[in-house]
Amino acid sequence: MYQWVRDWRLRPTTLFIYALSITILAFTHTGVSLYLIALLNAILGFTFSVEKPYLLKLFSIFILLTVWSVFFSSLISANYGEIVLTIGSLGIRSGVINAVINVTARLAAIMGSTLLFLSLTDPYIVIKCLENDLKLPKTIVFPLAYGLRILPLMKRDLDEINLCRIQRGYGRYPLSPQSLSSILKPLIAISLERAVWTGISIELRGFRYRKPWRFQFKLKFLDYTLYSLLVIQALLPFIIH
Amino acid sequence: MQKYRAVDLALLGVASIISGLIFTATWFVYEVSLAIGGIYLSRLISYGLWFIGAPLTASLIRKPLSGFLGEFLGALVETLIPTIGGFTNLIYGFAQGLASEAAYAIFKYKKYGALQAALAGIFAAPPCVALDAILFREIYPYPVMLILLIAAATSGAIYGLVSYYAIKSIKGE
Repeated sequence: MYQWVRDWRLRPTTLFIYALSITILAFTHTGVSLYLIALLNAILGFTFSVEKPYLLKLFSIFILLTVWSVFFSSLISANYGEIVLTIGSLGIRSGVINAVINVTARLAAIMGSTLLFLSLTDPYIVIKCLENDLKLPKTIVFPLAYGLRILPLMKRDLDEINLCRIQRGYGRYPLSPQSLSSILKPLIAISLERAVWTGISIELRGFRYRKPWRFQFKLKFLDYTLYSLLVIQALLPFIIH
Repeated sequence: MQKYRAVDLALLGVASIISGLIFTATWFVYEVSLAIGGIYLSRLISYGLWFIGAPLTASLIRKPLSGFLGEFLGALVETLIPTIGGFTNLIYGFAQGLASEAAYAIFKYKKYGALQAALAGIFAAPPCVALDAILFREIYPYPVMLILLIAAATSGAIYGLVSYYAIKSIKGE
């Protein structure tokens, strides 16, 4: 029981705290310290997510879309300074370039730390660790754990609903609000019904009086390394200047 | 204050998963609408979907703090499913959840109707636009910011009503 606790080299709570802290640091830091944080976390995140290529593909698509949209937003809100590039009659000024670089660096830091977190953890273990380490109440932990558990069941329900829709002459893909409603309504109704009976079942098993079993843990070398890295990144503005 | 039973927590789990999946899909809607229609259309079409967690959950569970938990847990699910927002989704979910919860608190948690659902969507707009300005430097001239706020609030109201009537339809009321 809880063998995975002893096997884990890097505690999921450490990764959670690290990713959340880097997200905050990405907004408090500017200039060179921001670029260093972005570079470090982008390298870490992309290195460790090699084993999950779907994550890399998803984030790569997001990066491309977001940088593109940031560029257009910056043309409206930050097109000041010296002209750097001229496209036809449109002059792109240094303000746009700075805005794109800063926002891209910020996103790289956030995404890198998020990739690191997602690549090295499992959602169910994260929830368990958050409950034990951060003492999150069961009002938050149980819905999250239950919701993640029913995802495969919802997928199965969705497949059955699609099969029924095809047999009744609906198209495979919903193209109108009515056809979308024909998918979502039964899917949500089934899930809600299942939730009601799950709730009754666990209440009969004494869920109200459940106290989480707290297990002791010790931080390991990699945990201390990651926390040290976090402290260094937090102090970067003071170190550089 | 009413206590949450196990059934309420299980329903909260379902609502948070549905909200999280909607929030994740909304990134694509946002990016496409931004590319096609610019900053105004993207707010009008997509922002309400990011506010839908609170009215959806509150209309379903009808207890204090259900709106906040629906929005916050949906944001937590969105964080665990990879999106470009990463952990900033948690910050947005927390702020929007608190603001949406106010729409039910001002009626002393006695009404969970269409008006409250629309207000929950509207109230989530100011913290969202403010966080966009603070975190992502989306700062525009004052008239533009006002139009963005109105577009986000309108979107929130529309999707708030949609979520209320959807739950009402599913429950068969």
